[in-house]
Amino acid sequence: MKNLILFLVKYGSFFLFIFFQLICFYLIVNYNQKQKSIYVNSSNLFAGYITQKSQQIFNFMNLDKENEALRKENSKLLQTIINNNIKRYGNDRDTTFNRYVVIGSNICGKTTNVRNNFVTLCKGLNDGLMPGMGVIDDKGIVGIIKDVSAHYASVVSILHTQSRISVALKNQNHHGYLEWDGNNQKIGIVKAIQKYASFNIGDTVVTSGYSTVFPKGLPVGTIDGFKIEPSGETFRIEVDLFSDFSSIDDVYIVESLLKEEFQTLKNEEDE
Amino acid sequence: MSNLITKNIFRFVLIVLVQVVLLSRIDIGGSLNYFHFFLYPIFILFLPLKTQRVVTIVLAFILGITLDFFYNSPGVHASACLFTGFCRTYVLRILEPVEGYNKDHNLSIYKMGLVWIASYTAVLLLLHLIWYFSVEAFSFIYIKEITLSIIFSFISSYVVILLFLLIFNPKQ
Repeated sequence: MKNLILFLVKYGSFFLFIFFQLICFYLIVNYNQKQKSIYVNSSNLFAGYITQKSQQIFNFMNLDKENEALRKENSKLLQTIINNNIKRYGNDRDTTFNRYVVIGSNICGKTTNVRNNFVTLCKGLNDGLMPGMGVIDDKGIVGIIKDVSAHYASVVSILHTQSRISVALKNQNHHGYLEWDGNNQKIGIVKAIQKYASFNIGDTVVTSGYSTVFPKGLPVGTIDGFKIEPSGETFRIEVDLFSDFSSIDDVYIVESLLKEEFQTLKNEEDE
Repeated sequence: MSNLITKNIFRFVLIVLVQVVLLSRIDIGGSLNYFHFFLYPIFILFLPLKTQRVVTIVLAFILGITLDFFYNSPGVHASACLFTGFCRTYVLRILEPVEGYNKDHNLSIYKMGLVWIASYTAVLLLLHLIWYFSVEAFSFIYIKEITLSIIFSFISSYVVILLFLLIFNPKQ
């Protein structure tokens, strides 16, 4: 006890100083607007740093959800663009009817280096995917769905030697089909364009819209080089594909609502 | 003893009055608003030498709070006064003359000499201003403004304080 008193006597002024200083700072922070705001802000600076860091971690954990939301939004926008293009350049009478529905998906697997390449989507029957639907990405076209399971879908990519997609020269009425020769994954081959077609290197090749798989006018690639086939009647055009299969991640599935109607008519035609 | 207390109460009132009635109204304005006039620290500086440290600190706090009422800045002056009161002992110890202090003396130009008083005032005034403007700005983001205020206010306050000390220069 005696020591405590001695201690207090010796350092009392110091503690008194600290005590009064605390009162002062309490007053300053509570009754002065400017200092108060600075105090609140600087304490927020530290708290904000912590919040931001933890937010970053949670954001990272939520990335899947976030991506899915963005994909949905993108597919909605893409759907609007595709349908509007058709309404504008086609001659649909019914302008309220949307002919195409777009579904977003990410890919679960892909091959790019063999002769017959497939892309696997992380969505399947449960999400409304059906065989025969077209798959595109933000740059170009990817392929056509071949098989669907409940949660996955397998896509014949345009880098498949059996793949055939109806294409056209942009702003022209010359049609052909896109194939792949199994060599360079950047280059597709367009065949069956009539030899009297006129075009230049660098012209854009788009989907023709002749089948119900892809809407008309989706970009496919640019013309890289061409020569006349040995038969002498058609061109063999090398197309620099827009789709980059090495970095492909998010894709959009295009569904035509008029597909069955079209198919029924076609079947009757065949019979 | 009671005479000493009365005298210091009188000093307190006088200094506070001069500070809030005259000096606080001086507004140089324009780009020179870094000039502020601080007279009141001399109350703490020239408390009798035998004043106990605890008492000094309590008095400093009372002085600061009183000024804060007039300046409408709760805690800012009080904090600076406390700091000055706290530092007073150390500064006195550092500036102690070879022969030591005469405990019964007051600190005055007459007793201690102008040079000693001038340097003692300079040190404590500077400490006071550094603390005051730091607390007032409350953030070292304003380091430029703080520094300029300290420099300019030191000049103006120092002049005012020396004038005050020369005018009220007790002979005994």
